[in-house]
Amino acid sequence: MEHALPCIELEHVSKHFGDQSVLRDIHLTINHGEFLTFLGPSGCGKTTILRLLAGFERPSTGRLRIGGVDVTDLPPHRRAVNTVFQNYALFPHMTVFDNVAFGLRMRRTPAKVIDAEVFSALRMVKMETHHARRPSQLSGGQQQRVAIARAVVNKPLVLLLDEPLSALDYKLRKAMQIELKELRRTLGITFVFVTHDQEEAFSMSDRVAVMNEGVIEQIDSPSAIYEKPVNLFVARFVGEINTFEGRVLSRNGTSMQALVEGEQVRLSLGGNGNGGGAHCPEGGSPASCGSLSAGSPIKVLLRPEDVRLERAAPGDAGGLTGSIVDTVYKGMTIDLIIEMSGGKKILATEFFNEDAPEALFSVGERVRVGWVEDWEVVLPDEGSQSL
Amino acid sequence: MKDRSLFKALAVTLTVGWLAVFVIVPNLLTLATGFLTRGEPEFVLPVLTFDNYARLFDPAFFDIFLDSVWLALCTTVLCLLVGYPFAYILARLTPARRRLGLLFVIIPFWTNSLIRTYALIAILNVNGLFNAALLWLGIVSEPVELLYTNTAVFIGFTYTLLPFMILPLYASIEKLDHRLIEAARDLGAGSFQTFFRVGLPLTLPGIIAGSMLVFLPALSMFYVPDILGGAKSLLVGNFIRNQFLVARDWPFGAAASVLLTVVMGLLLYVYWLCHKRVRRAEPA
Amino acid sequence: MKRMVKAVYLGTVYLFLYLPLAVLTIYSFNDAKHVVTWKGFTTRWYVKLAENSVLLDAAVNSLLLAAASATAATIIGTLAAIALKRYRFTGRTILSTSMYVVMMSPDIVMGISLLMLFVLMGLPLGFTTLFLSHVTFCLPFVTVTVLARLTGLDGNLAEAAMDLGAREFEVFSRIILPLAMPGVLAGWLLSFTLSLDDVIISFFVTGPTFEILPLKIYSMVRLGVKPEVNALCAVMFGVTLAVVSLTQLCFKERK
Repeated sequence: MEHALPCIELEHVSKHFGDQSVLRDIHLTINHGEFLTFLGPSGCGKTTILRLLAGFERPSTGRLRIGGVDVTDLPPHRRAVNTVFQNYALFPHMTVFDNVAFGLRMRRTPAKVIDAEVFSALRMVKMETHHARRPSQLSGGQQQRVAIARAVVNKPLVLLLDEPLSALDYKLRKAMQIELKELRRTLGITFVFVTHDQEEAFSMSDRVAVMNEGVIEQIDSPSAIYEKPVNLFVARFVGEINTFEGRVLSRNGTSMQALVEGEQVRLSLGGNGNGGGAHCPEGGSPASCGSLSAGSPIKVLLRPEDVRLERAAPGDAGGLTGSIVDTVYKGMTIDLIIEMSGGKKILATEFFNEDAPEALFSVGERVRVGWVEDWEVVLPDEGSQSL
Repeated sequence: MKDRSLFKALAVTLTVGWLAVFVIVPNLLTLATGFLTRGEPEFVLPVLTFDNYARLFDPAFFDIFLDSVWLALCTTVLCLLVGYPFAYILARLTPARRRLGLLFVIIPFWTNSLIRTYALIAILNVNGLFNAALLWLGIVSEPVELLYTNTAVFIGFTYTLLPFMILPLYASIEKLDHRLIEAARDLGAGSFQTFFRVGLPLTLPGIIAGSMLVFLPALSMFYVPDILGGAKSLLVGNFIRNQFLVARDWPFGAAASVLLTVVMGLLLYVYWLCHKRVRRAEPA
Repeated sequence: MKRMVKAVYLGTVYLFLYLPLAVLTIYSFNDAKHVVTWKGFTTRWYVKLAENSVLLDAAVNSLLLAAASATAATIIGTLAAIALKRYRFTGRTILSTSMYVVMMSPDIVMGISLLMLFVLMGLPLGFTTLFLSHVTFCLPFVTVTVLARLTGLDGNLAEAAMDLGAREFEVFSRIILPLAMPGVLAGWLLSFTLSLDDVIISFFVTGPTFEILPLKIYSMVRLGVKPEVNALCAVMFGVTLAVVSLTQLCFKERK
C-alpha cells in the first residue's frame, strides 16, 4: 500500500434532516487510490455521505477533509471531486461532447485544451465516435460511459459513484464492473462507490463499509466482511446465513463448549486461524467476544456453503441432526433445506457432483449437520441481552 | 456559498416582492376600505364604520347578490351537465383525435370573452339564426324576443364559460385510471353504480375546479349582462362597477367585493378538502 | 350506434362553441350595413377598419402593452417557478398563496383592488398602471407553465452542473433556462393572449392617455352589432387562433 495516505477524512460527521437523524458520528479515513464502497439497504445514509462529499449537503456536525483541505464549508464547484449520478444526469440539450466539456468550460479552460481533453476522455470510455450525439440517442450503457467521461475529464482527486450501475441489465452491469476496476487502475484516483448490491460491492472494492441506520456497522475487506461479520446485521445483509441460538458451557482460551440447539458442541473463537479475537469489533461493544463466559447466550452463524452433511446412521446419538425436506437444483450447486430436530430450518449448499449422483442426499434422509472447524462465527446474542 | 445566495436573493426578492405589493397589499386595502367612510372628492375618508359591511344585507344589495348567485349557480350546473359527458367522451378518444379535440376547446378558452359574447348577439337577435331555426322547426310561429332578457344572459354565461368547465374536467378524467372503471365493472357494478361510486368521487377535484372557474366569473363578468341583458339585468359585478364609477361609493363597493372574495375563499376551501381526500385515497 | 351518439354529442357541443364565431366572421364579409341577411361578399369593412386611425392606435397600444407585460411577466414568473422548485425560503407560502389568489380571484375584485392601490400610491392611470396590472395577472400562468416543465426534468441535472463546477448563475443560464425554454415560450404566448383579452381589470386601471383595443371594442359593442365591429372581432379571433395553435405546437414538442 504505497498510497496509504489519507485522501478523504470524515471527522465525527453527523447529519439531521429536521429531527430525523440520517448519519450518526461517522469517523472514517479513505486512502489515496482506494476503491471504497458504501453498502447498505435504502435509507441507511450511504447516499447522504456521498452528497456530503460532493457538497450538495452540509454536515450538521463534524468536519470533512479532501486531499488535506477542509471542505466542510466549500460549495460543490470548489471541491476536487466529481460525481457519476444514478440516472447519469446527462444534460439532454447538449451533445456528448458538450456534456463532457462542461466542467472544463466552467473552469475557463482554453478551447484547444478542451478539445484534446474531451476526446481523450471519450476515447478512454470508447465513446469518441459518438461525440456529436445527444444523450437521448444513446443506450443506457453508452450514457453510463459518457457520464463517467464527463466526471473524470476534470481530473478529480475522488470520483463519487452513486449506484451508477443500477439502471443497467445484468450482463451490462457485469461488464461495467470490470471496466470500472480497469479505469481505477488507469487513473489511479480514489473511487467512492455507493450500492445496495453486495455482489457489486465485493467484486470491485478494496474495502467495503456496511451501513445501517446512519452508522457504519463494519468496514473491512470484502472477504473479511463475508467471512468474519462483526454482528448479525452484517452477517445477514451480505449473503445467506444460518443462525443457531446457543449458550456457553465452558470456555478455554479460543475454544469453548456450548449448548447449541440442545446439543453440546465444540466452538472455535479463532475464525480461520487468524488468532483469537478476530471477530471482536474494534473498539469493543459491551457485547464483545471477551465478555463471553460460561452462561452467556450466543449466536452461531454458518454460511450454507460451510455446512458439512453426513448421512446419519440409525441410532446415532449426539451432535446436530436433521432431515432433508427439500432440494433446489441451482446448476453448479444444489441447495438443501434441512429441518433440524428442534424444528428449525437451515440451508446447506453442496457442489453438484455429476460423476457421483448417488452421493446426493434425497428428501426425507436424516443427516448429521457439521462444519469445517473454525469456519463458524460466534457472536454474543445481542437480542437476548435487551430482554 | 455566496454566489448561490446572491442569485437566490434576487429571484426570491423580486417575485415575493411583486406579489406582495400587487396582490396581498391591494386585497388588504380592499378589506380595510370597507371599514371606512365615503368621501368627496377623495372617495374615502379615514372614519371607521361597520356600515358598509352591514349594508351588504340590505335588500337593495342582497337581492341583487342572491339573483346573481342563482344565475351563476344555474350556469355552473348547466355547464357541468353539458361538460362532463363531453370531457368524458373526449378523454376516451385516440391520442391524436384527443389532441385535436382538446385544441378546439382551448381556442375558445383563450378567445376574448367579450368577442364571444358579442358574437352571440347575431344568433339571439329577433331575426337571428336561433329564431330562424325555431321558426323553421315550427316550434314557434313568431320570432321570440330573446336578446335583452335574463335568458340571454344565462345563455351568454354558459356559452362563454363552458370551456372553463370542460378543461379541468378533462384533466381529471384523463388522469383517472381506466382500469379502476373496468375493475368496478368486473366486480359487478352497473354503469350507474360505477359512475357514482368510482368515477364521480375520483374526478371530484376536476368538478369543483371547473365549477369555481365558471361560478366566480359568472358573478363578476359585468359585460355579459351589459351586452346581452340591456339595462334590465343588474348583477353583482355590475353593481360593484357602478359603486366605483357611477355612485362613487368606494367603501361600499369594496365591501361588496370582499363578499366575493369570501365566496371564493369558501370554494377554495371546499376544493382543498376534496383534493386532500382524493390524494389520500391514491397510492403514494 | 353508441359511437354515433357520442360523435353527435361532441359535434353539437363544438357547433355551440363555434357557430356564433363562424357567423360573426361570415357577417364581417357581408355587404350590408344593418341587415342580418346576406347581401354579397365584400372586404370593405376590413378596409374601413384599416383606415380607422383611432382603432389602429388602440390596437398598436394593445400589442405594445401585451408584449411588454408578457415579457415582464415571463421574467418574473420564470424566476418564481425556479425559486419554488429549487429553494426553501421565507415567503414561499406568500408566493404560492398569492399565485392561487390571482388565478382564482374574480377579475372585478382584482380590478378594483389594484385601482385603489394605484390611487393610494398616487400613480396616474395609464400605461404604467395597465402594465403593472397585466404583469400581475399573467405572472401565475407563466409560473405554472414553467413549473410543469421543470417538474418533468431529472432533479439531478442542476446538481450535476454544480458538481462540474458551475456557479448558481451558470446553473440557471446554461442548464435550467435552456431546458425550461419551451415552457417559458409557452408562458410568454399565454401571457400575450391574456393581456390582449383582458377587459374587466383594464376597465378599472385604464386612463384617458392610453387607449387599448379591448376597451374600445367594449364601448363599441355596447351600442349593438356593426359590420365594422364584426370585422374587428374576426381579426381578434384570428390572432387568438394563431397564437393558441403556436402555443400548442410548443407544448407538443415537449412530448
